[in-house]
Amino acid sequence: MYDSDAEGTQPSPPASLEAGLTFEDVYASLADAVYRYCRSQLRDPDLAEEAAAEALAHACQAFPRNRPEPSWVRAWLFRIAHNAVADQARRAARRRALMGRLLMRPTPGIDVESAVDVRDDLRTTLSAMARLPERDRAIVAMRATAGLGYGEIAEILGMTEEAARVAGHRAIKRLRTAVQGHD
Amino acid sequence: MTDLHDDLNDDERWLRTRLEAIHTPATLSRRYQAILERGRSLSPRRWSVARSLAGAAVLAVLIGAAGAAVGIRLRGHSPAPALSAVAGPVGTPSARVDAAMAYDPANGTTVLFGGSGSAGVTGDTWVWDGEHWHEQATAAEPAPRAGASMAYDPQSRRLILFGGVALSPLPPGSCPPPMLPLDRPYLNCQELHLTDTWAWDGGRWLAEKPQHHPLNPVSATVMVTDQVRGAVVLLEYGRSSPPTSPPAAVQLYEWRGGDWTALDSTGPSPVLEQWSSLAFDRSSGNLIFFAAQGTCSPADFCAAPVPITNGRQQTSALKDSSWSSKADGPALVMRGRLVEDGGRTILLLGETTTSDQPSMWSWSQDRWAPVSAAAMPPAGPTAALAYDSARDRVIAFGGTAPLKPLHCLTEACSPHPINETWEWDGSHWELVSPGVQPTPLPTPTPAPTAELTPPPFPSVDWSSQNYPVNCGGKSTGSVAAYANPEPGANLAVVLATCRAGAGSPPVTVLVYDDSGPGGSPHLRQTLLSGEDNWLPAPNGTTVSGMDLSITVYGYSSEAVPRCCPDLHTTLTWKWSGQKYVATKTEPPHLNYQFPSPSA
Repeated sequence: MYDSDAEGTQPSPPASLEAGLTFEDVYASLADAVYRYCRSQLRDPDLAEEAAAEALAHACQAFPRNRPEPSWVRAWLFRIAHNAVADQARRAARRRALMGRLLMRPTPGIDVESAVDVRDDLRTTLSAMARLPERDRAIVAMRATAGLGYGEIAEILGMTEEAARVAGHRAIKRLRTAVQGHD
Repeated sequence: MTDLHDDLNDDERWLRTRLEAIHTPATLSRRYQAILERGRSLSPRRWSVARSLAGAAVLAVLIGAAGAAVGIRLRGHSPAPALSAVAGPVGTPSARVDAAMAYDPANGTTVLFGGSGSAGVTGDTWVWDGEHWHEQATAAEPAPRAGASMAYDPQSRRLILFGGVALSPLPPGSCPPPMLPLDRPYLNCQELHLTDTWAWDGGRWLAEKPQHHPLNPVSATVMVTDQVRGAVVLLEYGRSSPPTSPPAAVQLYEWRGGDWTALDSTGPSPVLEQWSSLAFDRSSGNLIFFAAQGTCSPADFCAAPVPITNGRQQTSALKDSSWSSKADGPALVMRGRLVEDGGRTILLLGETTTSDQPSMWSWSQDRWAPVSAAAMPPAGPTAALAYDSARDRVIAFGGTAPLKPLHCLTEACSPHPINETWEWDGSHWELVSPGVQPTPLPTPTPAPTAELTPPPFPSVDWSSQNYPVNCGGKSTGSVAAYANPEPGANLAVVLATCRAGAGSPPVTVLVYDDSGPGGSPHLRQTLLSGEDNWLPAPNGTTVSGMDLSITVYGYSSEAVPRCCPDLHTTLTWKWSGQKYVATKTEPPHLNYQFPSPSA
């Protein structure tokens, strides 16, 4: 389903699964955070919802086989969500390119920040996040929406923990300065 | 799974608060299920897992309305479609005021507990799933109470319920009649202030065993989820005792690790004691405190809506641990209640002194701005309010309606508890569960009145008589009881007051007979004058044969606010053949001082 198969490439989950943890628990605890993460990465709320739904469904299917233990399940799920976001972004880019060729004119990106359901302060935040480099945007969003540790983020994004920490701190400082300057 | 947000630094917490304004769309769970449905080509083992998750939801879709009728339905929003069956029979909570209500994001439902209704103080639990109320049957539950505080604890993923007021176990009928304001009668009965803490985990009430309790037992509390702290914060504000002493400043507590911890705060903390309310402002990360306190002139009693000019409002913000005073609040709001409205704003549902309709205000950039809506919950600030973050709706349940001047003493304007459910989507209020007809509040049951058949004065308009009261303007009145203490003595006991204007007596109690021209009313006796400064209770006048009794309220000192008399007693008279003679000595109380004519 994804360009990077989460089932095959994610960090090896421990073999043991704490008794009682079900995907129902995972969904109840983290579905909102997954959507927030997807929404913070994709400017189109519809694409974000599709990415979140795909990530959750994929995780549901993979859960009994991967058997992530409770201390790892958050990073495991957000790795899937990160891949789902990347996949949606690529699909959207392909659609835009195709539409551009068909219509013989460039197709602007979807300015979803103008959607009525996006509040002013959130719109400002998302606009500022959209200007961050993709990797930095993912780092700060994984911290803010799921509270992932930098070690976990580093494994998901394929970088060192120290590099993730430095990039995250710098990015969120820039982000806050930009948003508060706008406020 | 533990909350891993604890190690976030200040910048990261700031971003987390901002991003929490992103609301999960209601359609996410359906799209998730649709993808699972497409996964039917999965191996049988995979599908069995997917089916175990989606099964309840799909079943609920298939059975549709029939499912709703038996309490099983699909929630139209995340989280946890696999847990989407809301247990409990569908019904409607009874009409009530001062119920505790809060949104439970762990279960995607709004929970209602307790309150005060026509049957007294209740202890039932209901869950609102966005379409229906489901009554919850629990093995253990908090004792019946009204005025409890409830908020969601993100650490334990449970709702925390604290305190409230219960009635002490007195024999039926021993509770004195309601004092003012009329819609909170339990506050004037034998109060038992509770300090217990309970947790709602989605299906059970669990008694918490904190080592520390907030509380001065006569204080009141408000509670909210502080998204910055990631914890429930409780604010104790002083209902001082005795009531004549100054109200105490607020005290802040935090619920963490199963215990209450007092928090220090600096700055000018709010001190107002009536109608205090608290909400979390996502845009600033501050807690916003609003209180309104009205005092009133004697003319407000029993009068038509009268502007109350000396009411006070206060808005304060708590950032980190520091209070700062903000705007004074919308003028004329006598009672108000705050509720978070998603990432948009904080809503204030208020009652003004100039209208019997609720008003609405929004808090943004440190100021209040009026919000107009075609319809509003008639109970206004007396309704229980909660914000459903998954559905992006404010829920309003119950309260009293219609809103009327706080001190209206006539039966016609007594508010009644209702059980309507309304939802606010950011621009419109919608009545989503109409409930049933209002049920009158418990009021004193008068002894059988010796009414004449037919009653005297059949064509008299008592509201437009010229009464001997010190008004300097128009007066009005109403009949509290008819009496026929002996054959030929056709009497009416009338409560008279001024329509408006300061400096008039609160209430004058007069006895009329039918000896005027053509059987018209003729003043026979003044039982209580304005100087006596007794305020008769609604439905508090009873006649039995030659006996007459009136339950009245009064004031122990000038320090007692006019709105809230602190004494009550029952005065009695007996018919002597010519007039009523007092048979009980009036207890000490404050007389009313008329302003001098030159003032």
